[in-house]
Amino acid sequence: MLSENEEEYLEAIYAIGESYEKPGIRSLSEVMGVSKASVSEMVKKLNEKGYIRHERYGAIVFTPEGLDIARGIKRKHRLLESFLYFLGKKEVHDEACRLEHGISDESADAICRFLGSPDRCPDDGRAIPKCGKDCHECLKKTLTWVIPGKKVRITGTECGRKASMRLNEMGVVAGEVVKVISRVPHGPVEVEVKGTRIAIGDGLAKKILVEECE
Amino acid sequence: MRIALAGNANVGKSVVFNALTGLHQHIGNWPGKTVERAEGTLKYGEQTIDVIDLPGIYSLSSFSQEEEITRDYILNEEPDVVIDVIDATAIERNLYLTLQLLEMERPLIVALNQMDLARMKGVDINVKELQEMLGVPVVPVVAVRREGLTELLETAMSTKTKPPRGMGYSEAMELAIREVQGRIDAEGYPKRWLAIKLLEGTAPVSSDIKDIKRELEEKARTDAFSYMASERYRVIRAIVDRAQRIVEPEKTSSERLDAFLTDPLTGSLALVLFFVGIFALIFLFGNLVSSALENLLFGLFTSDAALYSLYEGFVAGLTIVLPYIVPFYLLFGILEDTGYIARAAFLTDGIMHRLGIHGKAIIPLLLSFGCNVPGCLGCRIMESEREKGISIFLATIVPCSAVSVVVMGVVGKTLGLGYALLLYALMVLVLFALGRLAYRIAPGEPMGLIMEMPRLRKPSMDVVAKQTYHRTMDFTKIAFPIIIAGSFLMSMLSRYGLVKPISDVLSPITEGWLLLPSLAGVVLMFGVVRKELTLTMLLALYGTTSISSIMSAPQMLTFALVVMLYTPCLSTIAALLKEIGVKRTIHIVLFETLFALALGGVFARILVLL
Repeated sequence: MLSENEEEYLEAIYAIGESYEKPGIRSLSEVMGVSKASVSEMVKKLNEKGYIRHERYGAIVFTPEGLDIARGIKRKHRLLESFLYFLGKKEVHDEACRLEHGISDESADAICRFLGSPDRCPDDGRAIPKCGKDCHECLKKTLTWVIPGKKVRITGTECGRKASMRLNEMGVVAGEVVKVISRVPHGPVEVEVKGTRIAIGDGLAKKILVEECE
Repeated sequence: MRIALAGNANVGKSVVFNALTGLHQHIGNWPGKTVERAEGTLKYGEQTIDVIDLPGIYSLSSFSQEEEITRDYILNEEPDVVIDVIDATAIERNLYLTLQLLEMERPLIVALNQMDLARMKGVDINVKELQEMLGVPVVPVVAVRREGLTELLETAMSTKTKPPRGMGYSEAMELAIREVQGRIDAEGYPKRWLAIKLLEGTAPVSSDIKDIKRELEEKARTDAFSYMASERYRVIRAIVDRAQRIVEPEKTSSERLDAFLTDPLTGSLALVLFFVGIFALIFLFGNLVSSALENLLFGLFTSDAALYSLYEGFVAGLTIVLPYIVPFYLLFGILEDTGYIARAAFLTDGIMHRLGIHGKAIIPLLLSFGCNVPGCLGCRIMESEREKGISIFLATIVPCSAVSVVVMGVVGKTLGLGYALLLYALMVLVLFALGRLAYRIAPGEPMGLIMEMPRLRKPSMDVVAKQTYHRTMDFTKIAFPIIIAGSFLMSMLSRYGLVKPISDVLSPITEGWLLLPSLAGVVLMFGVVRKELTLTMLLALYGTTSISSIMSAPQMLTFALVVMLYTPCLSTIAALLKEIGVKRTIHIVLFETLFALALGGVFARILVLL
């Protein structure tokens, strides 16, 4: 586990690298606003832990492991900034800096999905690192994503033939607008369709594609 | 004259059936199927009319037994009139089946039920318009209040001869239908119907029409079944647009209750309370009445004549049926009729999927803790044969109250409650393991839950009472002979001194493998009649009241485990025979007995090592 401070250093190294500069003790001390001596100490520590490589008086380079972590934190930081921005906040940087160490990968991914997988941070226009999974797959909206009370339009199903025939008969056809009534966590979704209510199991609901409507 | 009632589930079809036939009904099973068949007669003027209540279905794609029964009945038995009962509050979904019934070209009448509810929901239906669009008579009824039934019968008598016309679909679809019609031999089926079924891929016969189907699918840019479904809904939409007007609906108190019952938090709480209540009611009441009955009936006279055992068997049957089966059917019927069962299934579906079955199975499984018989009978709510098979299998493994008496009497009393709970924990593990296993090996394709959530309503006590009566009688007919013959056989064995020889024959299993005392074999055999006999007989045979003078601690645990797992009792076997037939009943009994013996032996050896 890395401390918050160590994470901040990795993030700073990543940020310096992004602006096509060579991260070194001096640039780090400027960015972090601390003495070169304490920067040196931290760099040594991170070097020993195997996150970066640092030749004496040379540039700092990430190890593959270190790069992963730095990217992950930067991703969380910029996603949080985007999210706070979306919520109408103006000064988002400092708050995102504090939140980024506490948020889980799953929640960060959920924010990413919620914002429609944004490419750039609205704050400074810098790129938001991707998580590596297929964005298209991730952004697909299924019935399980709908908040109870909302209406959505069915766009298609990805389930087996028999199940999709059953769904058709119950009124769940492409183009149909359905209203989600309620949902049990990890359990079925109840929808209102053609004047009747039906419950659809979790596994099936994940295969029913929907889009928002009005 | 013969009338067949068809329609979706939960539209009040059985209420219509009951209102029409009154007390003149017969409820059984469809030949060779495990689906309930309800028939009745009524006198109308001079005429005697037979009414058959076809199973509730959503379409005729013939995926389920219910759909096949309906299809075959209408096509082969050719009822004089088919009455399609539809729910006025949701005609859009209901008409999906109506369109398919129209295609079957039998005289059809639409009974528009629950008109009162529709009005309350703000749905205004123009009956004349609907009738014109469908081309068949439409009769509004309120079955619970017996409104419109006379008109329905009058219409049924006069529609005999005019077969309805089918609906016109899109050009591409009609072209494909015509092409198929030109190529096939109808083989006694309505030709247009068969053509549509062939295109959909749900026909009872096969024919080479791949090229036509492919061409249609290319035009429609989707598979033929989905295209047909959306075409049907398009036609329905056009009908509904003209025949139905939606006025402002009001949020009814039933909707608020529904929200409360399906909420994960409050709903779960209500579910637990419900079942604790039902448990308490059935089992406290059941045990009380059961032992009172036993005392009363055995106290009447005693005898050691051979025929007395027949009487004993009869009493044994009575002490199952009256205290357990009747209240169970009654409460279950009420839950079923109110629509609550769907809510319980909705809440527990997520958890039950870990067991390899749908949420609906929670009800039979919980009931099984009291008595396996209602548990097995309750499995009929499972929609597919596969799901029903798995849940009925699991229901017979759940330790019932008689088994609990043995576990408590053998283990709980002498070794302490902790050990008894340990055995229960082991049973839960076994239940999960066997559930997963059954999920893998059961034939058929697993399918996620798709279940209608019927509107909550006040149960119709008329329907419930009649159902309870018929179901009880049905069970009695199967169970009594088995229970009476079983106890007669067992008493013959002890009368002719066969207990000791049988024990000796069984001793390689009981002593050799299970490491139990030799008389355990006979005791386990008699336990098939009633599980609690294993304990009472064991004590009686050894002439003691203390179990610890008969068995060591590991023996007690092994004995209790085997009693928990081995063959279902005779009453349960009777229920199994009724629900899943002879072959699968034998499979279950054999599997569970062998499994219990295998696990028991291993368990005994582990205990010895400890």
